[in-house]
Amino acid sequence: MKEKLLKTPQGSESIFLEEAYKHEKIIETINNLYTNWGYLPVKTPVFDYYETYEKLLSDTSKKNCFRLMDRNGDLLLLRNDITLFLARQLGRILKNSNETIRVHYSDSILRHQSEIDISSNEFFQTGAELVGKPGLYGDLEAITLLNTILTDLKLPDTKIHIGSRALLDSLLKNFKNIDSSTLIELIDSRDIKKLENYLLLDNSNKIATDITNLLLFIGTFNEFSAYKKENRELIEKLGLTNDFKHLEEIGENLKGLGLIDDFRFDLSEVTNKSYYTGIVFKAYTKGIDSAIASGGRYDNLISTFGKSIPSVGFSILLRKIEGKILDEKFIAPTKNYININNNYITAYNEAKKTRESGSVAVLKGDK
Amino acid sequence: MSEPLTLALPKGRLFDNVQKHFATKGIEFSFEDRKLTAYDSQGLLKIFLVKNSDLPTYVNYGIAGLGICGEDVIYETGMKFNNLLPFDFGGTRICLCGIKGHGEKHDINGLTVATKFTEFTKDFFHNEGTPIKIIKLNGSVELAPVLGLAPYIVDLVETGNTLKANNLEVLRTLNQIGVNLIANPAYYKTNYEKINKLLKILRD
Repeated sequence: MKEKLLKTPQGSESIFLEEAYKHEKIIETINNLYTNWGYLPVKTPVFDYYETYEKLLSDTSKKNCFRLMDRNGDLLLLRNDITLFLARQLGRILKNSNETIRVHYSDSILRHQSEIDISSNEFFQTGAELVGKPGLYGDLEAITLLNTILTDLKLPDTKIHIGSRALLDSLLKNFKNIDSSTLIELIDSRDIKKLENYLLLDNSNKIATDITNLLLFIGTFNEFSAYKKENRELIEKLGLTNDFKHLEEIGENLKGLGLIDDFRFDLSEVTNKSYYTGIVFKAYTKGIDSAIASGGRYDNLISTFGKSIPSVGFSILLRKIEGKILDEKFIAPTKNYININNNYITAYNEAKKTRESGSVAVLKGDK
Repeated sequence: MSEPLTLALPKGRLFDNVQKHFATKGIEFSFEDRKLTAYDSQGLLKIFLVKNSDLPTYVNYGIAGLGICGEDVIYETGMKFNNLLPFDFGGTRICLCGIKGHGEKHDINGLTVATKFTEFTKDFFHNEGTPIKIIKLNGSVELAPVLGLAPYIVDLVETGNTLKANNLEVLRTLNQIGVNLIANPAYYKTNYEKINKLLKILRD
């Protein structure tokens, strides 16, 4: 019993006092931004039928999700990714709607956390989804909203890396023997030799090297534009012209907005989540051991649950970044203690004045 | 001077190889007596000396953004890293070994194997379709067949001298094991320019 009192199950956490205050304040700030951008809140269920999501879960998600059985013997999935749960709700609700809707959420997620990986902090997601808006402007809205949030939180040394799952899918059309999940695994490992060797299954030496360099490209927008110019023939040959053009248009707009320094163009961002169909992006902060936010375009996901509706969105793993957010506005205010001194009424009125002036007053004294 | 990259190195034989190899590229470092952190002469790297089997944990948490480690150690952790550069030194092979002359005999339960490398052994034989019973040991694995704990072992084999001294032999090489410069993937993304410069120095 004593042991159980000291232990908490892997994948669960509680937040207390000043830390909880900061957490709530950060959510409040983010929620205000969502509202200003026209996004309205949604709440998703804590669990749903496992079968509904099974084919959409990556191998990692299958390993770290929690499943339980209901009284009828149906297998249920505890909410491990709000985007998926939300897509299912939208698929049901939006059957006859063609309008663009903007939704946001902030809620707990439940994932198993390995004992040797307690730093992952994947307990809480906040995010936004722009549903029913295809193309460039939708993509720009999602990434600029994410950038606005990260800037507003004054998160230091943070960059959003933009890649494209669409580009990878276009590239795969050139190959007969290349399997997408093996290729993604090799891209994620950045193992040049293994990646080149794998690409040799369908290519000559020279082109395998060129494709490897393409798939591992990371750079500023200027470097990306220069790469595109230098490799025009390769890009055309592989049928990637439109995918590059789309990324370049995103870059031009971000440059025009003066935001381009907050972004990197990263063709190694391809995601192993097969439901993404267009741009994909992740945000990284120096000193945090994994991506703090991720998102992308998923034009076919909602169709799994109902009508086909083009969508783009992102989620932020909030608990990962809270320790790096140092802005004073998120710190619990100093308490002013007022002694009761055997006269509760006087002390109460003094406290009232203090509170009305915007400060915190706490009454002190026993009887 | 910009902030140095952080690199975890394993204690032991591999450390000497790394130190010599880096010196040939103009990156020199040494550790003061009993100290576990050091900087290289160019100020490119802040280096931590850690136990081989703990190295992936330090890199996974981003405490050290980079590490040099054998593929065997990484496989056992199941953690995912960037494999940025393979090295020519420190390579070895992982083998199924048994008592000399007895060969590899599968009984109705498949094979019983003593090993430190439980994850690799399980995955290798399951992929092959061989049922396997694994006994986890942490060292002196060669004793297991000699004392009758398990008829076979899966272990790293370099010279084969320890096997020979204990009347054991290699039955099969299961895989080649290389040594790589690994990176925490998020650390690579936030430091890719500096890391690419380091890779260039190490490749040239």
